[in-house]
Amino acid sequence: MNNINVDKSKFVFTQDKGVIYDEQLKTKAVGYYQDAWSRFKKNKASLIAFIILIIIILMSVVGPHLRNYDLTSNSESRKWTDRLKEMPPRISGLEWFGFSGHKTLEGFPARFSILLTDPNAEGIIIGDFSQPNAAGMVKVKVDYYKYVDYINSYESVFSLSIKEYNLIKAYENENPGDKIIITDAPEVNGTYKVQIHFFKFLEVVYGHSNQDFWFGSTIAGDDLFTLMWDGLSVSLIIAFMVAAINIIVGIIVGSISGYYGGTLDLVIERISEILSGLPFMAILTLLLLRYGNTTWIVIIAFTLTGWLGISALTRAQFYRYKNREYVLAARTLGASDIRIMAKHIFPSTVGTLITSLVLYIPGVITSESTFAYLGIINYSNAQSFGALLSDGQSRMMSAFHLVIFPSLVISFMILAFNLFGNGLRDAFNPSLRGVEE
Amino acid sequence: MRNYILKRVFLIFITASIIIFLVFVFIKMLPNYHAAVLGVDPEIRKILEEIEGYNKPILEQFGIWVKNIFTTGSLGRSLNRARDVTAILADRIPISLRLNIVPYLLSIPIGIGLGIWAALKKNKLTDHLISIGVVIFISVPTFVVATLLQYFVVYQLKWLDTPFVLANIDFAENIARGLASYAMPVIVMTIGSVAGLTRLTRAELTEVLTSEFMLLSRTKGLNKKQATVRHALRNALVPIAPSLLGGFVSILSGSLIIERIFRVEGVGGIYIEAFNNRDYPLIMGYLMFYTVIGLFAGLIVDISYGIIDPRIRVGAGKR
Repeated sequence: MNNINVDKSKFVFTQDKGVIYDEQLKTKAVGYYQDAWSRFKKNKASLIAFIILIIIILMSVVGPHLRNYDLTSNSESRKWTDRLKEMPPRISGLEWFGFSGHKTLEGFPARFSILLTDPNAEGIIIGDFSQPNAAGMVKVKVDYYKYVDYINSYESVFSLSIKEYNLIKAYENENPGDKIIITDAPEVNGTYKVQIHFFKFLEVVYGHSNQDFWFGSTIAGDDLFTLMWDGLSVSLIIAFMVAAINIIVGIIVGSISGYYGGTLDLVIERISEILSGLPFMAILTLLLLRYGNTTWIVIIAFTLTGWLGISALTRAQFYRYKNREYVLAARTLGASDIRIMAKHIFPSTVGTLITSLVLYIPGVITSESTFAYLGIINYSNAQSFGALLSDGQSRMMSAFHLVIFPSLVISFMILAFNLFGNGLRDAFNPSLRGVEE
Repeated sequence: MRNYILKRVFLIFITASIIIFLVFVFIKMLPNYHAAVLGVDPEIRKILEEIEGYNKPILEQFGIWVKNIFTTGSLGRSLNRARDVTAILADRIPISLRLNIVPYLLSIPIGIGLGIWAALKKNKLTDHLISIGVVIFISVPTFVVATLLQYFVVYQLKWLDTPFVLANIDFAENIARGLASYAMPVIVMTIGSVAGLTRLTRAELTEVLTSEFMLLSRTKGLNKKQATVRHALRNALVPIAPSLLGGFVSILSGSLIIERIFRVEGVGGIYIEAFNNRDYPLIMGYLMFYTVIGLFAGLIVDISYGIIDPRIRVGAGKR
């Protein structure tokens, strides 16, 4: 040992008077949910997923109303939509991003040379002709919106009803100089066979103000943008309804069978064992065959056996907590069974349940859209994502937009749900962090 | 163990019987069932009534249906194909099996391998990349992956000339082209099952790697590799192996979505056709087949759990 000499005067008491008490904590109390939220916020991927989800859900509500496209809702205007089929996507301002409304057409050179010479067709052809293929066909890039307007205005003769004709005439009288009719003709048997400026006609008579199809149009001439968000809202409503019903039924059945145990539990277990052997596909197809294709039947099919998983989960959680000391204490104090179940055990299980619920919703959406894709689920009032994609698939060579937009949205949505669910699970149960990814 | 297996088999038998009975009664009670099935030809009508007892009460019809399965192997006569359902299923099962077996065999080594790799490199770049891939491929629905693949391979890159799997006749004509047409469905199915398997393996292995016996095995002198292979991997595979066995049974029932997208004439494909044509006997036959396969797969999983890990006996009581 070395002897170190230190001057005694250098030693000073840090605390020579008074007593040290425990200081009050200056931090705020953090509750269970606050704690979970703060952990959740740290997970950037989940937070982004959460934001994407909110945007998608908002779009499913407001999306269908962003475009005032109602040509297809009216039986009289419906006949014109056929001429607007498979329009490529166009958004003014986003032309550089592929929303240009351009399309590559294939045909004989003679077909396109007319477009080059006619002054009315100016600006239609954008790209150069390709080399002719074996059959003598060439490919050329056109501004498809102008092209559709041109062929319908200058290369077609329409049969207009008296009502439509009169509306045009009224407009022309009000706005002299703004002509819609190119070549006029007299009425024969209630129709006028005339040439008209097509887009202008749709705008004046049906209020279709030559708007762009943001995501393009479908085979029937519907606006894909409107249709998609409509279909999405149906899918989401089904998913949320199914999740809500399943979680309510599952929690009630699961907590009763978990809490009381014994014979009741045994009976419920046997029933769920048989129910869980019923394939979902069998339930769905039988119900649809019997009661027809409506949203309600689909919801019932999903809930008939869907609660089993949540019930099993709740039951396991109740078995885990029902003999804890705090439950015993509550019972000693005279709390009723319902109070113990609702106030003491249930809050301990809620984290697991929320997580499984959030991870359950994308499952419902996936299988709903899968069966819609297969044509087994087929609503009368809306087209689910699966059905949209299935329709688009047959035309994807010429109209890829019919496939890519629904694909992207549904994939992003399910991905966001899964990431969000994983984040929630990590937040509620940090010990499981990353175990199941 | 023997008693356990017997008990499980018996329970499965009971469950299957109840489910099949329920489905049978439900189908028979569909509003337009009789008119659709019996048709207009009085001769066929007479034969059907004789063989399948359509004029008798439903309970008796079920008895006759079950009896026919055991005596003649018949599951009833399909309306659209005018053949016995058993024969149709027997035709289709090999096709589904042929399509499903390659992805099944491919996905096991790839899935487990990736899972192990991710678990060993936990929280490193490799792990993150694999985990991101897994989440993406689990989330994106099969029909989206398949459709996009078809678009790019067939229409954009023109590697294949058809987005569908060739039928048997065309297959025999040009075998190389036929085999190539199997590439896309195989890729789609492999990706799907690899993602699930990777996730499962990674989860199990990371859990085992942190357990105490791993520390013990290191303490007794094994190096990291030895400890991982001999102790961790073995324990991690306990819950994975049964699900692989169950998966093998499940591939018999085909895949509705893959067979629809790639126009494969398999068991799943026939079901869509039967549903669209309201071919009730065929629907009944397929649902029965599907239910039995599903229950059987579950049984295999449970029993193999018991064999591989005797601590777990599902429903074996408290002993």
